[in-house]
Amino acid sequence: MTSKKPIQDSLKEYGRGITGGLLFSLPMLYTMELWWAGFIANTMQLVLYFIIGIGLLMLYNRYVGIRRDNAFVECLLESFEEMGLAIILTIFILWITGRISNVMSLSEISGKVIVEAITVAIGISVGKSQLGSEEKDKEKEEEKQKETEKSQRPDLIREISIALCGTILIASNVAPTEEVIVIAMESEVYKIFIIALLSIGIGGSVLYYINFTGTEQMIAKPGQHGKALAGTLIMYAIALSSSAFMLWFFGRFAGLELGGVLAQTVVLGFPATLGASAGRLLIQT
Amino acid sequence: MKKNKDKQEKKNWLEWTITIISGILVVFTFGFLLYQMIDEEQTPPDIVVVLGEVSEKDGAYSVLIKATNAGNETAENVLIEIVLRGEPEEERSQMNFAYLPRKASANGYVIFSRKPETKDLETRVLGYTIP
Repeated sequence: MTSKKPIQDSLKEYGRGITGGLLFSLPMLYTMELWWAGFIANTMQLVLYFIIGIGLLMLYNRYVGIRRDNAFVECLLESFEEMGLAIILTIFILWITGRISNVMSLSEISGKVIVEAITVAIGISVGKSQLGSEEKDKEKEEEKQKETEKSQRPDLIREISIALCGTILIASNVAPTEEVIVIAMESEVYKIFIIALLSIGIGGSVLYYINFTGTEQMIAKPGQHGKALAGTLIMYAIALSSSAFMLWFFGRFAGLELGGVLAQTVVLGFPATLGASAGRLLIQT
Repeated sequence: MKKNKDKQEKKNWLEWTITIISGILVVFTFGFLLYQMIDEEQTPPDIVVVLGEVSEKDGAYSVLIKATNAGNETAENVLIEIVLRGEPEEERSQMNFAYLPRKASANGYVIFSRKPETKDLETRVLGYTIP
């Protein structure tokens, strides 16, 4: 039997891939040494790294990925797809964080993008294959859901506590670094705004729309978008307030006016959001 | 479980579109790197300094400095000296660029206390390190 995969399923799969890519590599995208590695490395090293990257992706896809045990060509196509997505995602993230601009030479940009994209691509592959909740046994899930509903009613305090743990887990290794202030000071205000919108969009999708692992009880049913919106806002508020707390704790606000404080909070709020959405789901399953 | 399901499913148009775009992107990136590797000779950093417009603020004059690395290797810690000659005394300024990648340029400003004439300004690259 051959049937075409519904568009929605593919979108969800890509969403999980992108979440995985960001979750595993955002701390790297926020690292100066990697911004520099792109132009310090010579072209031959970059070619080698790129080949190794594609090779690793193929191996992962061959043995663990969603199309495992399939033909060589399919593995290759899958790896190319993930690498391509990773390149697009890396360019976008480097652009909103002010790391690539039109005054740079193409060789500098390509170096930066390649160095970061390999990790992002592996993250995407892991996200696509590992971070989904299996839809196979829906009945079982429904049973489980009823059980959990009985045993533990949706408890806001519990949700917030776990989200806070996820935030600290993912964002605290970025918080004390200089990159947060560098990005916050060097990016234009509209880019900071895009970072905020992107955080809300990704966090909301992870919690309610892309069947991320551990979201069985949360997935928004038609007509429940209000609930999803409220949940997303609470999640982003948690991410922002814990970012602000961490930055204050590490003395990053000293001598700054409100604009700088906010920009830094939003910049750190991006990894914090991934922690409060994806991270939180991963640590409770 | 998943494997069986996936084997039955053909890619839809969205997946095909993304696969094709990705394929082009990967082939282009790889091709560009290969082209660069074959085409490029290893030339040491070659730093060219160009002076830009002069602007006044609070009685001080700032001059735009644009440093370009025309070579194929990255220069680190580029130190540039700008001297303003003339009366009553010579003014010296220094500028440091942490990184100047191959074929890239960076901008900065030097400040002088009197209005600089273009003919009185002299720039010199004092040195740089190789990463």
